[in-house]
Amino acid sequence: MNDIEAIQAVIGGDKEAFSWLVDRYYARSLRFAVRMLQSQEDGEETTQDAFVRAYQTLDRYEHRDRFEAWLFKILVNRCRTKAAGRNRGRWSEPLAEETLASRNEMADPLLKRDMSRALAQLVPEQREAFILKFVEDMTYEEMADVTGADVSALKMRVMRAREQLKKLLTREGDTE
Amino acid sequence: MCRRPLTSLLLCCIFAVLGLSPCRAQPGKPLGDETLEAVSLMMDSARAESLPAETLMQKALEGSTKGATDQKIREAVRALLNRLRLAKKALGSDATPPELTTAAGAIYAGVDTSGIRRLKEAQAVRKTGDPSNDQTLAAEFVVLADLISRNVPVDTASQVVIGLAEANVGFAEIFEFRRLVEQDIRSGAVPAESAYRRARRLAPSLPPFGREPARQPGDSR
Amino acid sequence: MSGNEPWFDDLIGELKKPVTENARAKAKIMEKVREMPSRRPARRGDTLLTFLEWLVRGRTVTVSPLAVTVCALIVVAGAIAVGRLMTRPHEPFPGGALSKYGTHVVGRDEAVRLAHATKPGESLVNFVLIAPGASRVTVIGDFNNWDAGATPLQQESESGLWTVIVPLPAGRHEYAFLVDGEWWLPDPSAPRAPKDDFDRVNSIMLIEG
Repeated sequence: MNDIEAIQAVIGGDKEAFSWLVDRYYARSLRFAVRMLQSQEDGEETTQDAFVRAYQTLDRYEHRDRFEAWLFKILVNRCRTKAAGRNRGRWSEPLAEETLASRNEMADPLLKRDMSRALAQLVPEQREAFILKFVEDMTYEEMADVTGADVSALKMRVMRAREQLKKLLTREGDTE
Repeated sequence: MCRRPLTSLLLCCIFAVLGLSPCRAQPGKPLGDETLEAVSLMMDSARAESLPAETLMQKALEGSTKGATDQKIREAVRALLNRLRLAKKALGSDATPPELTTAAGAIYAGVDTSGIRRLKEAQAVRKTGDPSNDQTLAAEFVVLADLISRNVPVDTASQVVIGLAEANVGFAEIFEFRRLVEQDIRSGAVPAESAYRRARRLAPSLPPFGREPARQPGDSR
Repeated sequence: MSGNEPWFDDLIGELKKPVTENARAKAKIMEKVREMPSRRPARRGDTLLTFLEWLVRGRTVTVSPLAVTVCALIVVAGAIAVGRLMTRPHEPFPGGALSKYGTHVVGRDEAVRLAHATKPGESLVNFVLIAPGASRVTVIGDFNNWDAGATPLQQESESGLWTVIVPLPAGRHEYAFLVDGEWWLPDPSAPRAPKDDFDRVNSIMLIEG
């Protein structure tokens, strides 16, 4: 079975066929969510939400995207909502949310402590771009599609994320 | 100026239309890698000179969103860096980032460095609350650039804002002053005249409109 | 980007490692899916097919020349109206009186009421635009990397009042509104930036620290 067949089956009424898609993309989605939100619990919850939403809106999936990219679009939005939900009220995306490290939340448990802290220092949109580029190996065009940002802004975010991480994770960071 | 009322009316209409009407946006273009490199290098220079590097990147992104060519973007960023340098020269090393960026804006509008310095000097004399939080100087630069963009001549605008600064006009008041001048202009007032009239209410020492402002020693013109 | 360095390779190596999967959490997905109402395989397709057949089937129609002319005129008038709607720029009301109610920093009482916490040095800014007839308004500026889609406004009223609240750090900010993805509009209630490098006017917001 391939993605297209599974999707057709689900749209045709076969719910169980969706589990094939879950099996295929769960690990990768969870990894993104956990790295992004730096919490196992939030990562699991957000990944679950994303898959459920994908199921609900499968009719809208147009085959010009890879399914994975389409799923990731939903996942990225869910992660943003989750992160924004940590602040209350009617917000537009805050540019620099309080870092998790400063709030003593449980950091990414599997990651080395200094790496986790360094990632937590990035503003969410930079962290997001960095992970999509170097962990998910997306092209800038795919990232633009998934995040809704334009390629230049994404290149800038990746560049800045890289610079900041370098400062934090190498000796150079000590000479501030 | 108001010798031919019909012409000035027509001009006012055109200015009003130009002021209000939006322009069509072209789709954005991604930044090329060479441009990113060039901007990155300029940002490094800026940081080394204690100038706000962030604004350079934002200028590049602005250009990208507005669909400008890479060359135009590089030129714009370079020009901004130069203006920031001029601003720093005029304001001194204790200038805050908002003062530098707003002064750069005023320089772009046509204010020369002596005008920038005059405003800085007026601030030094002013009694303020917490100097580290005082954004009044930055506000003056913003209002100055705005007046000029609404066709108050550079010299007149400088004179008016310097007068306001010397009269110790505060942050909120100077923006209110700007708003009223804009309102007057939209209703058909001559920009320079409105600027003077409104400013004199806050700074009575300013001469009335039409009288040649006294030349100060040190003016380059 | 230049060649990779050890710190980078280490970091990416770590990040790429799979994360612990909790079977329970994963199973919850299908549980939820099963709870949802079933999809009905497309019955609508049949109706659609019949309709199409009906359309395509040839039949004889008699019309008077007058009817044809009237129809043609309606079509042309409609096309002009649509063309007008699509090209007419969305003019806000003149700045004047309304600029008091335009974009502003949210006062402390209002901020408390909205229950927003801000970081030190940040203020809440309420971006306001009156744009009746617009279907989409966003604000673009140096606080969102000039990203055309990042900060949409919400339409608050039928009369075309659009707003969004954004936390901004103190200092100078340059921005403008983008209406319907197509029209670049400086904020009528705000000071203007000096002439623009890119042939478009921006607005300035200066926030006290």
